[in-house]
Amino acid sequence: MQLKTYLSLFSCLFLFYANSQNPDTLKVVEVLSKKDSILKITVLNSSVPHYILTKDKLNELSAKDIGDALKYIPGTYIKDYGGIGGIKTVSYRSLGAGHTNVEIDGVILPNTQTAAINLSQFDVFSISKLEMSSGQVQNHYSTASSYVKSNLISIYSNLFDLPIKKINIKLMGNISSINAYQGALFFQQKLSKHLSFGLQSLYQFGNGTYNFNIQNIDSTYSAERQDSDLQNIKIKGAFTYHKNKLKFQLNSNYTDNKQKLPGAVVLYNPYNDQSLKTNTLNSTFTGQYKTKTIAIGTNVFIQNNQTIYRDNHYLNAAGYLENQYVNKTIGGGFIFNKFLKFETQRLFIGSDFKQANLTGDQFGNSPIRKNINSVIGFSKWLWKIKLQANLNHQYIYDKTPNNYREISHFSPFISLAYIPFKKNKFRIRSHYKNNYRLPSFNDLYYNAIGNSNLKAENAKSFNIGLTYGISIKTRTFETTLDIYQNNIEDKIVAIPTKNLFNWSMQNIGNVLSRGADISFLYAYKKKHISFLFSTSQSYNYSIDVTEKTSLTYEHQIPYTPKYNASYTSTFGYKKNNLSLSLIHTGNRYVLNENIPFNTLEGFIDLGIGISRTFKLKNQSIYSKLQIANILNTNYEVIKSFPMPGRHFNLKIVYIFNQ
Amino acid sequence: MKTLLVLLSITFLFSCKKDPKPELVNSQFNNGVLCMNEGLFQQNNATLSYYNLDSNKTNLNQFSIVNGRGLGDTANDMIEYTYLDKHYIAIAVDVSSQIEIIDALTLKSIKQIPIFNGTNAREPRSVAYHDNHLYSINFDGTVSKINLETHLISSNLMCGQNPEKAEIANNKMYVVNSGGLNSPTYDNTITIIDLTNFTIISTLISDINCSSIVKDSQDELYLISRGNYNSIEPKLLRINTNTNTVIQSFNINLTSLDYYNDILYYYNNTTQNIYTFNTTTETIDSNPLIDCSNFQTMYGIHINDLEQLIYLVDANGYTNSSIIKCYSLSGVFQYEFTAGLNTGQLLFK
Repeated sequence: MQLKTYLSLFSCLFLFYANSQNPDTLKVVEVLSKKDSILKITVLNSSVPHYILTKDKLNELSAKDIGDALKYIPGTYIKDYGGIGGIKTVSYRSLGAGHTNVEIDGVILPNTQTAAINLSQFDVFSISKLEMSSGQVQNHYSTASSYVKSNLISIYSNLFDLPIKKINIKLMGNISSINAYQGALFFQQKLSKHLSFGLQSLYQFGNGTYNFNIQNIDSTYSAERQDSDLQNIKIKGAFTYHKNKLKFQLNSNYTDNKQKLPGAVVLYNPYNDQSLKTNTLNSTFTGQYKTKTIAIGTNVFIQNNQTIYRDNHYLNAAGYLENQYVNKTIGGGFIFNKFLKFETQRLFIGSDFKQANLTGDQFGNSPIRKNINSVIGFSKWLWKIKLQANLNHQYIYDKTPNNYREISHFSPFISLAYIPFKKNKFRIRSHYKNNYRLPSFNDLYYNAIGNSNLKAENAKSFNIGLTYGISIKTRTFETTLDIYQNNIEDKIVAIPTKNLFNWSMQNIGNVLSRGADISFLYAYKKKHISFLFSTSQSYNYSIDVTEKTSLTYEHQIPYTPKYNASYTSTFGYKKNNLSLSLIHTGNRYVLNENIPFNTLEGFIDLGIGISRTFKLKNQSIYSKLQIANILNTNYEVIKSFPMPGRHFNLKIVYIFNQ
Repeated sequence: MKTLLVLLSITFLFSCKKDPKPELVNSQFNNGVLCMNEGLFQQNNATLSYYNLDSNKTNLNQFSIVNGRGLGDTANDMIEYTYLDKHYIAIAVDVSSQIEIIDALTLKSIKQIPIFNGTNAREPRSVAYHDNHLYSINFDGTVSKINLETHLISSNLMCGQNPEKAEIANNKMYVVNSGGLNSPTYDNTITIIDLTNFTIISTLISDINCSSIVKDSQDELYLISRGNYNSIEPKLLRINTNTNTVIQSFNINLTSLDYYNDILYYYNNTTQNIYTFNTTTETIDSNPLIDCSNFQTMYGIHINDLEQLIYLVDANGYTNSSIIKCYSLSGVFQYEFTAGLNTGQLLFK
C-alpha cells in the first residue's frame, strides 16, 4: 500500500483533535462495569475482539499457566505438547505464534531467536490478569512494539499491582497426580508511603510421568510417558514507587529451568534421552504517568537468555549432540497519549528501540539485530461511531560479519464501531490490520536451514462483529459474534529442498482463512447463590491457496481445527465453588493433504474443580481440588505427543494481609 | 436458554463426522506394485501401499489393514527374499528401530525384530539378504547378522559412520558409510565384510557422503557420493571389486540411480532428466531418456526387471502423497498411480 494514503489518513488526526470539544454522551458505554466483570471473558464494549481473564476466572478454569487459560478464548488454538514441561504456543485464527506478541506489564517479551513465546512458562500464580486482543492494544501504557503484530497477549503480574495493605503474603502449594509439585511465595511490603517492595518465587519439580494410550490402528499402545523430569525455579523482585499520578517500577526476573524432553512417542522404540537447560535474567524499568489529559508509558529492559540442548542418543561420532545459544537483548521505548476530553478518546505516538544478538553452535555468524518500532494513532467518537486507527512502522537492521540487511514495513490498522442505541448494549464493530511477521534468527541464520534472503510474512486481517449484552436484575446475558478473514502471503515455512535431510526456510505459501467466533454468557447472581455458563464456538476454514495445480490446493491447513469450542460453568454458594470446564476440538490434519490418513481425531477434555475459601480476619485460605480430563480421553494436540489422561490437582493458597 | 442449547448441540453434532476407514481389497498381493512409503520423522506413518494391476487402483495402508497395527516410524528399505522355499519381505524401519518380516504374498507379519543396543536404537537403514541370513545396516555404525531360523541377531559388526546401504559382490558385503550425522565431517569409506565368517576384510576410501549403490554384471559397483550439499558436488563412482579401489569418478549432479541389463539409469538434478550410462562401455548417453522437469520432487528410480519398466517417484514436496510414474525402457510414458508419503522402495509382484 501507498504511504500517501496513510499520510492523508493521519492528517485527519488533527482535525479530530480540533473537534474534540464536542460533548461526549457515549462515554458511559465505555466504562467497564466492575461488579459484573469478574467471571466474564469477553469485553463487550471493545471495537476489536478483546478478552480478559481475571484472577478469579483463571482459578475457575483450573488453568496452570496462561497457555491453559487461553484455550477458552474464541479463535485461539493452543499447540500443546503435553506434560509438565511441555511447550505451548498460540495460534489465533490461523495466525501462528509469530503473529502474536506477548507483553508483561506493557513490555514486549523479546524472542528474536524463534519469534514464538512458550506460554507454559507463565504460571497463573504470578499474574493478576490476562488479556488477549486482536488488532490494537487496548491499554494506554504499552509501548510501540505492542502495536506491531495482529494479536497481543497481555500479562499483568502480581508484583506490578500496588500493595493493598502494609504487608501482603501469599503462599501456594500444588500437588498433581502426574508427579508434579509446585511451591510459591509472594511477599509485598510498603516501605514508606510511596515506596513498596515485592518478592515472588516459584519452584516446580517432578518427573511428570503419566500413563497414556495411543491408538495403533486396531490395537492400543499403552505406556508411561517418561523423561519429563523438570526442575524450574523463578524469582522476581521489584521496587515500586507510586505517588499520585506517577508510578515507577524496577524489577528483575531470574529463571532457571532444567528438564528432560520426552520427545515424540515413536512406535516400538520407547527410548529417548534429550534434555534442555535454560537460564534467563531479565531486568526492567517501567514508568507510568497519568493525568486527566495525558498518559505516558515508558520502559527500559535488558535480557540475557542461555539455552543448552543435548541429545544423548544422537548417532554421530561423538555419540551425542549438544547445542548452546546465548541470546542478549536490550531495549526501551515510550508512548505518549493525549486524551481528547475523555480517556476513551486519544491521540498517541510512541517509539521503541531494541537490539538483540545471538551466539551459538548453530549460528556461526553471530547475528545482531537492531529494531525500531514506531506507532502513531488515535481513537475518537464521532456521533455514534468510534473510529480508531494507527500506523505502525517496523525497521530492522540485521548484521552478520559478512553481510547486513534492512527491512522496513509500514502496517496500518483501522477500526470502526457503531452503537445504534443509547441505552442498549448493542454494538457493531469492524477492523482491518496489516501485519508483517519478520523472519526470526532461526529462520534466517540457523546453520544449513536458515535462509538469509527471506522476506517478511504478510498477513491482512479483517473482522466484523456484533456484541450485545443485557442485564435484568439478577440475570445477565451476553453474546458476541465475529466473522473474519485473514489473507496470509509469503508464509515462512521449513521445507526440505535437496533431500529429506536438507531443509530450508522458504517464503512459500498463501493461506486464506475465513471463520467465525461466537461467544455466549449467561450469569445469575442472588445473595449467596451464583451461576455462570459461558461458551465460545469457533469455526475456522483456512485453506492453502498457493498453487492451483497443487495436490493440496484449497485443503485445510495442518493443525487447524475447523471447529473448536470451549464451555465453562460455575456454581457458587457462599464461599464454595464448583466449576466445570470443557474443551472440544474437532478433527485436524497433521499434514497439508486432507486425506483420512492424515487426520488427527478431535477430542473432548472436561475438567471439574471444587474450591472453598476460608476467611479469618486478615487471613484467608483458598483450597481447590481439580480433576482434569475426567473422561480420561486419550488425545493428542500435536501428533505423537499424547496428553495426560485423568489426573488430580490439589492446590492450597494462604493469603495474609496486614 | 433453550434455543442456546439447541444451537450448541447442533454445532456439536456438526463437528463429529468421521472419515471412512480404508478397506482390505486384496487377500493376495500377486499382481501389482507394492510400495514402501517412508512417512515422516516422528509421525509413525510409514506404510505399505499396493497398486493393483488387475483393477488399476491403489490400496493404501495395506500393512496396517492386514496386521491391525502400524508399520512404525520412517521405513527406509524393503527387500524380497526366499528362505526355505517361502517368499518373504524384510522392511527396515529406521526410527522404530525394527526389522519387520512379512509374508510376501499376504503381507502378514511373521516377526518384528528389534534392533537395539541396550536402550539405544541402532536404527536400521537398509537390509540385505545373503545365504540364509539377513543383514541389517544400522545408522549407529554397525551391521547386524540375523539368523532366519530363530529371527535373532547372531552378531554385530562395527563399520563406519552412519552407513546407508550395502551391496554384495563375490561373497563380500560393501557397506557404504555416509557419516551424514557428522556433517560437515562426512565419512568417505566403504567397509568390506567377508560374509563367510562375518569379519571385516578392509576399508576402502571412496568419497564423502555416499549413499545408493548398485552392482553390474561384471561385479563392478556404482555409487553416488552426495557431496556436502554446498561447495562439493555429487559424483558417480565406479569400484572394482577385485582390487577394491575406485577406478573412475564422474562429475554428475545425480541423486538417484538404478541398474538393469548393463545400463545405469540415473537422475541428473541439474538438467532434471533421466539419463542412461552403459556399464560395459562406461559411457553416458548424452540424450536424456525422460524429461522430469514437471516433477515436484524427484525421489527415486526403480526398474522392474521382469516387465522391463522404469518407475519414477515424485514425492510432491515430501509432505504429500507420492505419485509413481511408469515408463518403458525407451522412456515412453505408460501410466501413473498414487502411493503413500515418500515412497522409497518398490517391489514388483
